[in-house]
Formats: sequence, C-alpha cells, structure tokens
Amino acid sequence: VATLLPVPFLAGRLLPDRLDDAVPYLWGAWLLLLVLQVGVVPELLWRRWRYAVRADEIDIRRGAFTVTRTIVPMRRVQHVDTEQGPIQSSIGDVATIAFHTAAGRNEIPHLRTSEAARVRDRILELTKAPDEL
Amino acid sequence: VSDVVPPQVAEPSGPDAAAGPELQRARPRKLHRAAIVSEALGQLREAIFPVVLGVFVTSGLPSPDELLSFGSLAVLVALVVSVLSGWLQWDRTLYRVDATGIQLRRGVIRVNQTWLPAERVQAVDVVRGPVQRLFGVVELHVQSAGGGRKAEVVLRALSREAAAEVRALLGGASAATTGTPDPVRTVPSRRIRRRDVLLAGATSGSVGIAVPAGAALLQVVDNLPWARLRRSDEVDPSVLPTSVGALVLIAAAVLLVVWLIGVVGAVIAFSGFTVTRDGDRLRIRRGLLERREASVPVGRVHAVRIVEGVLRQPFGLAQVRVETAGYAGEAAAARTLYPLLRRRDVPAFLHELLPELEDRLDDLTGPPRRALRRYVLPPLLVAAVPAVAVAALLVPLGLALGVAVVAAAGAWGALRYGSAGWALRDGRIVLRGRRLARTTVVAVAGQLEERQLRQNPFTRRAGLATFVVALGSRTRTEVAHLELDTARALLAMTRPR
Repeated sequence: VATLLPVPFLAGRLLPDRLDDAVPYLWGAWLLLLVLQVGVVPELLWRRWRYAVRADEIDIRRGAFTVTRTIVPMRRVQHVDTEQGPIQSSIGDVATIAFHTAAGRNEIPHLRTSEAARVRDRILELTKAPDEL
Repeated sequence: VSDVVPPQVAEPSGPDAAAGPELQRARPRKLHRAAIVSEALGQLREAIFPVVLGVFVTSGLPSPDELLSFGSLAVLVALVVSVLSGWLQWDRTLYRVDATGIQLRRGVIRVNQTWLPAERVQAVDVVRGPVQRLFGVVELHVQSAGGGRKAEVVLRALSREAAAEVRALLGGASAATTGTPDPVRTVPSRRIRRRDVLLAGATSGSVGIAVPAGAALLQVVDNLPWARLRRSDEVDPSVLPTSVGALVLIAAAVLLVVWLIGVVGAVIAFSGFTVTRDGDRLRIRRGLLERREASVPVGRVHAVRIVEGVLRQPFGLAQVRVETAGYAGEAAAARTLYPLLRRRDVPAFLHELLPELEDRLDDLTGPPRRALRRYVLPPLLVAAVPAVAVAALLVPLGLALGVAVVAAAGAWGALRYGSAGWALRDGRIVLRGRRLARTTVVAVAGQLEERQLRQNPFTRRAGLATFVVALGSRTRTEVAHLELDTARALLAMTRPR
C-alpha cells in the first residue's frame, strides 16, 4: 500500500484542473486500502496460516485473499534456519523457521520458540534420511 | 654433523602414474605464466575507474596539458603496479589436483586456500579469453554444487596438457582429451550454422525493447522547440530534420541500429555453438571472442524449457534451455542448450541429445472453457484504468488509443488461455504457458523443488485452481485456472516416488 502513496499525490499535481474533483476520492481509496492492510490482512493471514511437517514433505497453506498451498519434498530441503528478530523476542517470544531449497526460501513464521526448535529438529532429522538413491 | 635429508620431490603423477591403491598426494603446481598477464589486466580494469575519479577529485578539472602529463604518469604507475602484482599473484598461486579433489592456494598478503573434493565438483568449464588465446592456454572454472555466482576454483591459465589432466581427474574431460576415443562410437552432437546464428540474433527480441525506447525518443524530438532552433544562429539549419518523414526515418534508423546490436550480440555469444552428448554429460561450446566450454552433468538437469519468443513463434522457431539444480553462476542457472531450432524439430533434438526429457510437446490438456474469461478479464480491467484516464484527457486520439490498449490486453489474455496446458506421461510433466514468449517446460515429475496450488476468492468460488511448480533456478511455471480436481490430482501425482 505504501508503494501506492504516490498515485493520489501525483494525480493531484499532474491531472489537469478539470479533473481535480477526483483527487479526494483517490486519497479516500488509498486510506481504505491502508486500513485494510493494517487492520484486516494480518488477522486473516494469521488465521489462515497452516503448516504440516510430514515424513516426506512439508505442506504450507498461506494467504489472506489469494490462498497458496505449497508442498516441498523433504529430500529437496537443503538447510533450515531459525530466525528471531528483536520484535519477535520481545513480544511473545516467537521465532521463524526458514528452510531453503534450490528453488528458494519458504518459511513458517512466528512459532513459539519451543515449538520452533521442535519443528526445526524434526525437519533436520527427516532431511538426514538417505536421499538421492 | 647430522645428515640433512633432502626434501623428497614427488614424481609428477599423471593419471596413469597412480602407484598404489591410495593415490599419492600430487605435487603443488603453478599456473602458466600467461596468468601474470591475465591477472595484471584484471587489476588494471579494476583500477581504471578509481584512478580516473581520483585524478578529477584531487585536481578538479585539469587542463589538457596537466591531464596528459599526470595521466601518462598514472598510466605508467598503474602498469608497473599491476604487472608486479600480477607476477606476485602468479608466484603465490599453487594448485594441486588428484582424483580426490582439487586444492587451490592463492593470495599474497592474505592467503586463501580452497579445497574442493572431487565428488562435489559439478562441472569443469573451459573459458578462453583473448589473453588465453594469445598464449594458447585455457582458463578453467571448477564449479561445485553449492556455490554462489562465481566458480569456486578459477585457474587463470593452464597449458592444454595441464588442463586436460585436471579435467580427466575431476571428471570434466571430453572424449577427445582422455583415453582412446572409440572410433566406432559416434557422439551425438549438433553445431549451429552461421545462418541460424544470424537468424537467432534477428529474432532475439531486443527490438522489442527498442520500440518503447524509440517511441520515447520520438516524443522528445517532437517536443523540441524546432521553430526557435531554426531561427537561432548557433545551430546549422541544414542538420535539422525538416519533416515528419525525416523524423520517422530517424526513428527507423535507431530501431535498425538496436536490431543490429542484437544481431552482433548473438553472433558474439552463439557463434560456433556446439552441443555434444558425451555419456552422462552435455558439453556446450560457444562464443566468438571468448570461447566458452561448459559441461553439465545430465543428472543435474531437472528441466528443459522451450521458449518461443514473440518474434520466433510466427516462424515456428524456438530456443531450448536447460535448468540445472544448484549450478553456480548464470543468474537463472538456465543455460542455452541450443539457440535456435524449428519447434517441430525439438522432439528429435531432445531424442538425440537429452532422451531423458524427450517429449512430443503436443497433445496438452488446456484449462476448461469456463476459465477463458478469467484469463481475459483481469488484464482487460487493469488496462482499462489508464485507458479510461487517457481517453478522458485527450478525447479524439486518446479514445482510439485507449480502445486499442484494452483490446490488446484482452487479446493477450486470450492468447495466454490458448497457450496454457499440461500433460503427465511416462514420469514426465509438461507445462506450457505464456508471459510474452510461449514457454513449454518438460521436467521429471518426481524431481520438482516445490509444487503449489493457488486460489483467489473468485476462483475458489468457481472451483478452479492454479498449479505452480518451482524448478531449480528459482523460476516458477504455472498453469492457471484448472479444475480444482485436476490441480489436486497434479499435486498428488508429482509427488517424489
């Protein structure tokens, strides 16, 4: 949403005078989007997040409006990180699990630290199983 | 006086000289002296910008005389320093290679040691730059699976014999350089014809980039105060274009130049392009000024991508690329397997060189009929917003332009619908889609890095879903708006065995 900020701003500057009436509506639309983004989307994201670590694959479902289900075969996981930012450690003591494949990074965000450690250990243990042949 | 035991000098151990079961540690060796020149030139190239900047910062804008004297001094110093440091680098660079791996020690002040075990070596690439060609040597890039952009071990200059030995030991050797080539066995190989190189350049689509650039230029030219320029005495009026026709001519000339640059680029990159299937490796040789030779283990090839560019598809032409997993370098890790081919010849080409991923590429199942409007409508709506704005601003001309843009967006959506399709057969998955170029991907079904199912609120209600696969090079390929059951079945059937 922040990237859309210039749209009403520039519109106010660039549009010819006879279209000036439209500019307040653009600002209104931008504010509405901002409220949605801050007030509604995180709640939806949090409520819809699902993950499952199975013996042969990791299954993640995420998204506020567009919902994406991602399946990563366990044998494709190259390494696993646990990340904890300053906000994560001060509010609620949570951590993010990030695992990498050749195709990029996937994450399971904001798990309780103890659960994060458990998930990480489980993934590590499962990826250690002999792969490739 | 105690006996001083002279240091043992190990015999040079070629591949045949391996005495025991344990391969004896090979003796450390230096690079060919051409490495001095190569290093020095590299240093010079890096130094040029800071030196030039330094001159200007310290002395402001120097007079021509100052610049000449100071400049020649700077050049002399830079030359001496770079040659000296090149020599030092060469003198302190040692490598040691045997069947267990390769070790490289380099660095004058800070010593840097790299040890790459043979089983982690993914490819040994040969690069022949101008310097290497001048001295009749080669540069070797030893790539490992994990690495970043650069090759883990770079040997700047090796004689051909030394290079052949490294490649033989690390598995990058071609049939021509090791053992006795079997005269009966013919290695499948394709070499591009000169005509096709030119054709590849001509249809490369760099013109596509030039069109908006040319349009912008035209806009600028159009807005120049021509009348005032003509009246002023400073500009010779004879150089000014006099009519719209002349402007169009200029634009055409710019386009032509950009197009020619594209052709030249293709000639430099693809001249003498040869791909060879040698056992479990693909060897790719290419390049006009710099001969590059890359070898890709077939086991690492996870997908083939057949790209039909906008300018190529009408002529039934396509480019074939391979996606390799975790290959160092080459931004997309996608390599050109062949620059230009008739699309209908692609199955035969794959049959010959990469039968593991051979497919007839046709007979794909498309998304259901009811998905068509979901392909057409979103781009149409996105295009409609600016189109309406433009139409409102410039009523007569803008209206036509707006309609044209909206129609083009809709047509693009319909084309995407027509291109989309999938097939699952013989353990392979085939996906086809279009952004601008129509792209067909063939991959081993059980070797995908990630699979995704995506739905937005609208498609969820309609019972449709987009199936996405991720391949090694961080590229994703998708077929949008399939029946949910179809997408689910694809997800299940692409499970690793």
